[in-house]
Amino acid sequence: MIEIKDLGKKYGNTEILHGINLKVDKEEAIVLFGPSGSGKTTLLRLIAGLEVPDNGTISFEEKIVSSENWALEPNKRGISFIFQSHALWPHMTVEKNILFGIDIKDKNIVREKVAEIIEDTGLKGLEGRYPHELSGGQAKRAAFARALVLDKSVYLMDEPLVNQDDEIKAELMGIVKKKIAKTKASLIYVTHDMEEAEMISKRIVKIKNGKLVTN
Amino acid sequence: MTNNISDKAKGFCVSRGLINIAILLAYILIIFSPILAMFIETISYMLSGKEWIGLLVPSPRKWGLLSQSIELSALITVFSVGLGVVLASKFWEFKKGTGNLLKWVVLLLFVIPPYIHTHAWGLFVDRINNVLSSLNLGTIVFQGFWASCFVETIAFMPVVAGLTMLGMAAVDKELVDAGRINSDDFTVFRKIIMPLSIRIIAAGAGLVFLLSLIDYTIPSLLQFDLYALEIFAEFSATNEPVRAFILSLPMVILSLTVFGFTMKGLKTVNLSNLWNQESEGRGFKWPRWFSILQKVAMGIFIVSVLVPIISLIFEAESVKKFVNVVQSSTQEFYISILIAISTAFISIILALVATWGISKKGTGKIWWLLIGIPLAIPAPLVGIGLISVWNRPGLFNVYGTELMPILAGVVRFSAIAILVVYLYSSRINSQLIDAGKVYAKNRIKYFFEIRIPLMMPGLIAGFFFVFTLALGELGATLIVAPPGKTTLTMKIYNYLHYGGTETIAGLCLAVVILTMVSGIIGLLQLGRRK
Repeated sequence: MIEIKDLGKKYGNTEILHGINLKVDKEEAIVLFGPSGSGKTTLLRLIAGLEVPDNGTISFEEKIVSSENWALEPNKRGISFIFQSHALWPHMTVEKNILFGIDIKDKNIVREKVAEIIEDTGLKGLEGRYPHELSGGQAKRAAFARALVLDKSVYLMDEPLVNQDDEIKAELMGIVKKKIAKTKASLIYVTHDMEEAEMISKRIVKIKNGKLVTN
Repeated sequence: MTNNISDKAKGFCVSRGLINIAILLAYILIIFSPILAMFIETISYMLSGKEWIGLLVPSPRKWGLLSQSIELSALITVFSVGLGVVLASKFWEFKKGTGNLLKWVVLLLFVIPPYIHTHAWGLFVDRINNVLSSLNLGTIVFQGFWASCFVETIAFMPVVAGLTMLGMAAVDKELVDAGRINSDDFTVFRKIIMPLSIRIIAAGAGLVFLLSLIDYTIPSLLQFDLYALEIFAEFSATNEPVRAFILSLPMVILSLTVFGFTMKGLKTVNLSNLWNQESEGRGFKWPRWFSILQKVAMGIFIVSVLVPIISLIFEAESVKKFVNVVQSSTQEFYISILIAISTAFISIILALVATWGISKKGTGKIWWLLIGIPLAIPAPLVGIGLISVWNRPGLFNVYGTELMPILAGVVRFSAIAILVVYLYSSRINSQLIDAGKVYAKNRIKYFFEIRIPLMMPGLIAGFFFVFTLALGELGATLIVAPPGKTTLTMKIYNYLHYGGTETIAGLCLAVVILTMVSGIIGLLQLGRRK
């Protein structure tokens, strides 16, 4: 469970987020919906620990992971994150991108997990390619594969399917839902597309000018 | 109708192609005339039956000097890269405000002429020696290989640090964040940031190797013989440019090879990252040993900034004496500034033209090759080459005038202007250029009202960088300066051989202030946003 209490963030004198209160249960998917510049990406980055809040707290399973001017490192939170751009490391192949950050010692398990996610995301045959050798859709699949290869307790997705065609959207959303159901994780999905939001979850949290409008 | 348009278009393309080639040839004529003249003279020297194999295949002593030079340059490169990369990793965290501004001042250390570093460190060691001898603890001998290695590392390390910072700043923020989700910060630094910056770091390493290989001013002041000094000595002893040229060939070939690799990385530098960096959000958490290393690097950096400045200020004694020294060298200041301004102005015109040529298909690669070559040529050779071109009757009386050091500066530093202007221009939004082409009534209006204003920060920055470098130029100026016309750097260099005095300190301080100010103006221009 994720619990956010009175969270605030400023960049210089500009207030980006103010008084955010939000609860996301285990196995629950929510959508953060709002126009660009509303603060939804900043909120997601705060939950990931990529930003440090100016006030308020964030707790995972009742354990505080962020508080005023402090944040536990992202790699210690048990989260996964899909960025707006596919953010694949250009000097690594698809396989190496997926493998990065996996610290399971048993190589057989690693091989099994990687093979499974490559199969699921339709990347078979593309493992040895570099990001610049992939189409936009293939790169998106690789980004999903990297994020979903491990079982995490929280999945964070920042407009991951923007500019993708309906077929890829439906397919990748299906994979995400399957993963959430399997791992009993929480999902926070950011979008500004209402149709996409409704496909992900019934719980749509609207954000505007750094404040939650409906929760 | 279609045929007419197509014929017109073809004619236009042909004329543009011819202009492109004409510009290229003009550039070759201006920049490469010294090298070409030397080359032609060398061929005729060889054909005349005079001994030349002994020069081309150096004697054991000269081989020794060459290997000593390579050894010194390699060591300086290793130290500079080690120090520069660790320092850059610390500075990289300062993304906003004063910290962001100050970190780029690192680069300005590089524009301080090398001999000033030598002199300032010499003064510092003298003071330490005074203390040591008063305590009967002996003295530090500040000469030879290790002293040269130390001063050159301090002088050239900012090149690696600066380029590493540019390389790191160019790494997409989301690539870094994506790594931080699953791995600790040091792993992200090692496996993502460093590999993505490696080409630029390698370019920095290549540049330091080259600069230390072709510079003889620091080792000569620290009593250490090098191959670059041998070229100068050969010319001074025989007054035969060809002999110096043949002697320099092994070093020139080595320099050009290194520069070929260096250029690949330099072409990818994005100058727009200089000031405008997005914050990574939370700070980086480094392992303890790396934090200690960063602190050590930072300490060395602070010392390398403070020691030269404080030593010079102490030696200059008082403001009154400093003003007196400056006033007594008005003539040298005037000549130096005149030469530097003229060099910068001509270099910028060349840069404007070359930038156009580089972007054209067909000649682009040739341009890159041509730009790189002058940077890899030792300064004395440029001077010697210019003498062999212009020291002949009927050639516009250039020889023996201030035009000679100006030409030397243009040959040596126009490549810097071209690099800065091209790298700046290549990041201009191409749609702004296209809109200009669509809406401007004619090409002149487009050029002067759209193209030039968009390039202006790059042009001004290039101007000031060349001005700064030309102000400190010594290696070629020493050879081509007209009789009775002494530049500031020449005056300092000549005085240096008589030992440290308040005059040298005062002049060095004045050069440091001038180079720093013009360097800062150049850097600020690159951060300007219109």
